[in-house]
Amino acid sequence: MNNVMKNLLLSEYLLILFLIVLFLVTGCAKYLDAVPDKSLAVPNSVADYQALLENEIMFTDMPALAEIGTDDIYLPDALWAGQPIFVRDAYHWSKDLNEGVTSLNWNNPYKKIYYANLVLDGVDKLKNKHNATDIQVLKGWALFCRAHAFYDLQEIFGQPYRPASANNDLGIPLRLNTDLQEKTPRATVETTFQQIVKDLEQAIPLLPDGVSKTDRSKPGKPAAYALLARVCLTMQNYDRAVLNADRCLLYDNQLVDYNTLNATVRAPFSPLIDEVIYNAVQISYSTRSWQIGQDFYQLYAADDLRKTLFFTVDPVAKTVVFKGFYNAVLAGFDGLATDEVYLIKAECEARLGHDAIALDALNTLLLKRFKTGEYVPYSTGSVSDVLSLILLERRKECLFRNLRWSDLRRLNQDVRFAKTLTRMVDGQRYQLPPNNPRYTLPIPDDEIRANKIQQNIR
Amino acid sequence: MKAKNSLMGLLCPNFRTQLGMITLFILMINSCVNPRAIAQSGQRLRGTVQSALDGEALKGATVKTADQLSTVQTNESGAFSLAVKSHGGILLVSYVGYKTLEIPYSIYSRGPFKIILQPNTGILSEVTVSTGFQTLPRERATGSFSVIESALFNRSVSTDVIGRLKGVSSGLLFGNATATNSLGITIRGKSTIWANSQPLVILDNFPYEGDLNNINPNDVENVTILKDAAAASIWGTRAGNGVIVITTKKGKYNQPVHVSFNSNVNIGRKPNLYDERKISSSDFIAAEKFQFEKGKYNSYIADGYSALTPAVEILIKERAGTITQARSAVQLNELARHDVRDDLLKYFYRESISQQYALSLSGGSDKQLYYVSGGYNKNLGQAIGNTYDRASLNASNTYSLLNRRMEISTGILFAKSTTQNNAVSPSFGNGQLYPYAMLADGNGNALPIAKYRTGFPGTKANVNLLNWDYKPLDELGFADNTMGLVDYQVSLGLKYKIIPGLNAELKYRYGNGETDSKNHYSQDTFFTRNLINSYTQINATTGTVTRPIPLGEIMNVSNGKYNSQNLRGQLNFDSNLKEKHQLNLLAGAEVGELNTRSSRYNLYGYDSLRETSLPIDFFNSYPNYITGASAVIPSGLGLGSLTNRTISFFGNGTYTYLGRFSLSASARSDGSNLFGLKTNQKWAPLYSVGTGWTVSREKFYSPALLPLLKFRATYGYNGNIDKNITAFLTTRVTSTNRYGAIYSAVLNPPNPDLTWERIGQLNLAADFGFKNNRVAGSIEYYRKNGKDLIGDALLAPTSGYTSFRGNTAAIKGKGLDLSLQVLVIDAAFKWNTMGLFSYTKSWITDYKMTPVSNADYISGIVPKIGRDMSGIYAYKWVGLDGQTGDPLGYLNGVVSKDYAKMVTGTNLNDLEYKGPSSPPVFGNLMNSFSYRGWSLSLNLIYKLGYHFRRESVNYSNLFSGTSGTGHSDFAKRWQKPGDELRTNVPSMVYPANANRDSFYLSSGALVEKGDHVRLQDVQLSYSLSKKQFPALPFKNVQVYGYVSNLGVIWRANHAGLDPDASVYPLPLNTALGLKIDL
Repeated sequence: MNNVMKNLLLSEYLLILFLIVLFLVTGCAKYLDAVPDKSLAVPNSVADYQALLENEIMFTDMPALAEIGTDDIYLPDALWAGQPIFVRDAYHWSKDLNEGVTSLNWNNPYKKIYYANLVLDGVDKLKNKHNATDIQVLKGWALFCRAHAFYDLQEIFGQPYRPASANNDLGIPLRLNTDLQEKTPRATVETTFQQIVKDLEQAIPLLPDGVSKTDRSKPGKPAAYALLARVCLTMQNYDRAVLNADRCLLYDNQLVDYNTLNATVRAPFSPLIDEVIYNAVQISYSTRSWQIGQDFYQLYAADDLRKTLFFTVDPVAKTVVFKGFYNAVLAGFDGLATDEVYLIKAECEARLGHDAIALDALNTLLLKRFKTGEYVPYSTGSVSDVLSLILLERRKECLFRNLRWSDLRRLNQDVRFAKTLTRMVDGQRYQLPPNNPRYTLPIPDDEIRANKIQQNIR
Repeated sequence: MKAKNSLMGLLCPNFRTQLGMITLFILMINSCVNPRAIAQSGQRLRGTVQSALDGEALKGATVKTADQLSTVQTNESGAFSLAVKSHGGILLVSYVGYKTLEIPYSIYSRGPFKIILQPNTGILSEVTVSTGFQTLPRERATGSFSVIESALFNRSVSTDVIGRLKGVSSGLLFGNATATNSLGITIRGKSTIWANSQPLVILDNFPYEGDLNNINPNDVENVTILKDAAAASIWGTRAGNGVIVITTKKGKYNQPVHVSFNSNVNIGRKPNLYDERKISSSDFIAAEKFQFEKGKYNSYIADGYSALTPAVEILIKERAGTITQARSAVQLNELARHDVRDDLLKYFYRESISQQYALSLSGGSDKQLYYVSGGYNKNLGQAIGNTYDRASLNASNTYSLLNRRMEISTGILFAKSTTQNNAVSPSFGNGQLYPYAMLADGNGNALPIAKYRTGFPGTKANVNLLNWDYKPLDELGFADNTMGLVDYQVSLGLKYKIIPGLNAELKYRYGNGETDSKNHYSQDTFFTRNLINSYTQINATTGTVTRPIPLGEIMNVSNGKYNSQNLRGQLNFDSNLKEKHQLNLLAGAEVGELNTRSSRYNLYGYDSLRETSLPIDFFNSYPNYITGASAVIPSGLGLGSLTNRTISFFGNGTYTYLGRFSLSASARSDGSNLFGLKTNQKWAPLYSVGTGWTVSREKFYSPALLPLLKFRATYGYNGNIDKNITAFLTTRVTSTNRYGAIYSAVLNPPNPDLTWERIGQLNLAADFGFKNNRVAGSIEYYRKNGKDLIGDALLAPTSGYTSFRGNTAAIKGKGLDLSLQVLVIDAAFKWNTMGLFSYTKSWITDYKMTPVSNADYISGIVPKIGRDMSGIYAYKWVGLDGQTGDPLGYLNGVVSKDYAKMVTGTNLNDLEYKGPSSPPVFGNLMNSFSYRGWSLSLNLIYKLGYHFRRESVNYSNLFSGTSGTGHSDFAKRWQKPGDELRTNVPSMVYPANANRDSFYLSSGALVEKGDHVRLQDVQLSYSLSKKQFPALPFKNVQVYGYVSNLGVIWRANHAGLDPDASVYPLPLNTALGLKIDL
């Protein structure tokens, strides 16, 4: 009797306890669905994907290892000695660029490409839920970023674009998906450039006509045209280059009159001048006080405002230190700006035989670079070699903008402009002849090991 | 849906079996309760056994006849009933930890006896182990537990709980804190590579999510360390690193009020800064002169604002011809006479003082018990300006209701602390203070240190700028950085005795903690003046001054909050069945949630009197007054919110036969919001099984020499998780970009198969006690097998990532824990020795990432299969080049100085393996002596069989910026041919070659043996008790002294280094205290 009672009582308690546990367990699945960190998101909206592209610190940090090897930069021995070893090596075109086994110059662009691919894959799945224009803009933006990254990589790690051999020369691996395990081989230089052109041409109709001048980390149509013009110039396709330069200028042709700037301050171009179409910076190598040689400095005319806006000359040591960064963050400007587009137009028109149009473009630019009233415009009558003049002006205008290395690779193919670079470092003489294999930098060891792709022979 | 079904499946069988068991049990109880049947011949003796300590019934005590023919164990209420054949004789009543009592019986005296056992004052007292789920007598446990009793725990003097565990438990190693292990404690070696490696800390029943410094050590009753799978697996996916269970003091039923007061003062010496092997002032100046001649400072001189050291300024004057070479030499010599450490010790450090006061009250009636305590600590840190104050309150109550069937317990643990971090570490320019810096003049007046070039931005006071001087000693007075903390834990427990032996429990705890940090910078601080000046804009043409950062104070605020909730439902079953079988079962479920929130922001133009601040433009960039570089004003804005949720099911059972043979099993299944759906759906449990056999209780065992001998064996799995990895592709909103847009970064690529790490462990052990308990101890052998460990796998960087982190690695390990207690002399004078010895070794058995270069082995980023996780590799050392003083190593087996290739090389033969950096052998030896009221104990700690890298000259660091860091080995550097015979320190070269430096610093020449023995502490106390001196107004009074960090007494390295010291050894601490019991 007693037993039965106890059993009854017992089952009652157990039932209650069981119900409590049941209550806890119900909604188990939902309970465990909570996002562990509110700042974390599993991207599933236009805003989430846009936030990835807004990562301008990553997207606008451009590889610039090759820049150290150009003839623009001059490092006196004491300054050279204070640099990290791979900067010292890159400066005298050492065979091994000892940046270590891995390189930000390689990894960071591929990270951008991963992000861009992530967005391209992801936004397609959002079609039904979101505004079609928003999706289009994101797609155009991602394509622009991917093309930019491919181009930057190609100009450092791919062989130079040579129209005759581009189909056989080695370009870079073209990553077009987000599969982490995929091993992508190196494409040819031609295929690499075709991909870049294709991405940009696809991007242009998707991008807005322009972006706010307060937010130039976003590309608009002018940015895509400007980049495409730069790419076509590298491909020595002057027709297409001038076409895209013109289209860019149709949307944005603002030049800043340097007479409005103050040369006495340490950073005259503060913080972002109207000329900038798309803002980006070079990976900083703590190259404190970038210098140019006295011979280069002497190329600037006395009334040329760039002489004082771009440089500070140490009164004692006579060193010429560059300060003309277009973004006032004291790291090399690596974005797109209208001055470069004018110069692309000028060069291509000259190459296509349109000297008058070419000089017109050059004059438009230089008028804003000289003291008011002091500039004497060039005319076809006054200039014997228009192309050489434009190329010199291009160098003077666009120094430390990560363009010179590309230009050297391109211009060296033409005997008229081929140049042997020479350096004296620590009492030793170094030379880089035109078209030398050292114009293509070595791919980092970790990529070679993991991906088994062909290394550049230097 | 699927998940739910499998859950029910998991639960239901449990309940069915339990029901069956319970019915069985009830039948047995009934046969017990009505013992009508009396033996045909002989008689039946009855009685109860109680503890003299608290009057509690002793269950499981052994009652046997002296002839050993009849034996029985007491039941739940301490009662026994024993049939004996003879008409008279002696009954032996024994219980572990109590003195065996002999009771004569006869037909005239057969009870019921009321037997009260006196506790055994010998070394092996009855020990219970707590897992946080249950408390069970150690003799029934099969797993590996270390219990640190109150006496041992309170032997040391500290503000915190964890520090007192040093050198008192085997298998427990104290190292330096790391990112994944802020306590720096490992139990039986590290069981993970990248995931959390800190043991789980349980406070009473639940994991403690607050800051462990909040717990008043005076409230701690004991600490149990759960070491093997059987002990810890009840904690499932959190038990992989072992578990530390802290049990706080509680009242006892029927105990008169007990008041205890404890107070002590602990004084620590100033740190011995001279133990840091820093470059001497004269050597540093010599190096500066050397760099100056190489033109190192030219670009800094050219920029006009970079701070230059006094020596460099003198050299500039000498070069410019404003002072003569002789004058320059005199001035440099004058500088070299100073050592900044003199000033630092005089003005920036003091002797640390920690005061501790604790008062507690406990007691209980037959229906209620209570424990109330309050504690107060006040610490003055060794760095002037740093203080810590803590007040803590602890109150727990238990009410017994419904005729002891129901127990309700409540508990509140409250702590409030204030930390002041006002210490100042003087700096120079953008970096290190040069060693000859002067911080005060002869009269103790603050001296300035250059933050910018002297003369810039104008000692000709620019009226538009605030004074730009930096005087570290003045800053000490301006600093106002306070962190307030409030933490409380409220717990509620409900226990209902359904039938004797079976009870249901519901436990709940709510924890909440808030920290509020305010770093207040008045306008006097350099920080504020510098920031305001840096952003000041002066229009070149009009001269108008604008200040984007307004005048006034700056306040950087950061707040953190957490709240945790745990709810557990549990059924416990514990009883003797038919007197031979003892069964202990528990099963239940638990839900837990931990929310952490943080926020921070900066206030500018702050007015501390009115609590106001001014609006700021955080959007536009402003050119820096000095460098011209544009930057936005730092908003300091940050928000964070973390949520951890878990659901767990657990069960645990122990079956003991005749008190000698035990079987145990445990299982736990966890779901977490960190795992992906796939893993959560599986509900695969982590489990353990174990067995124990007390041989000495077998009839055939003759107990003459070894009265206690027990064997134990367990096997099972514990888990571990890495909170930094989630199963999904996740992006983290980082901040706003330069243009004010919110941006995010990919935190981890998708990892749908993510699961917890599993650490399997086999434990084989023997517990023994020799005659009269003079020697007692245990020996344990274990093997570990870690599967699904979080590891890296190499990816081609073209994928966007260089590596992938997932469940890809595996390790194996083994070890030995030995603990021995010897009562050397047991008379009025007692000498007790406790020795602990631990051996642990673990090695990688699977790792997907192949090392890319020798530098990877050196830096230890890539674990090497077959080697210890903490293994040290070093470049093989040849010596110094006799001509140049360059260090020499091997490249592909050939002597070389191509450092770049040696560092990025892949030939493993160019390296040597030195062994683990974490000691495989460690332990301690504690000797305690007591005579009358006096007691003295000394604890020696040893760590053996490991290596560490010694520091030396790093020329890259020495030459970095305008003032680098140097090592005293600079004085021993190679300077001329022949020096290579007496030194291994390479010559100074400019420019510094980072690869040459890292080759030397990572070479065999600098790897030292870590083996050492230190005298951890000495304790001396004198006690007086009322028993001895009835006139005493107290029950007991104790005065104690404690000295810790007495230093290394033997070391294997010849460099005179303390391998445990991060910069300099911990300073000597001396404490004096008083403890009174009323």
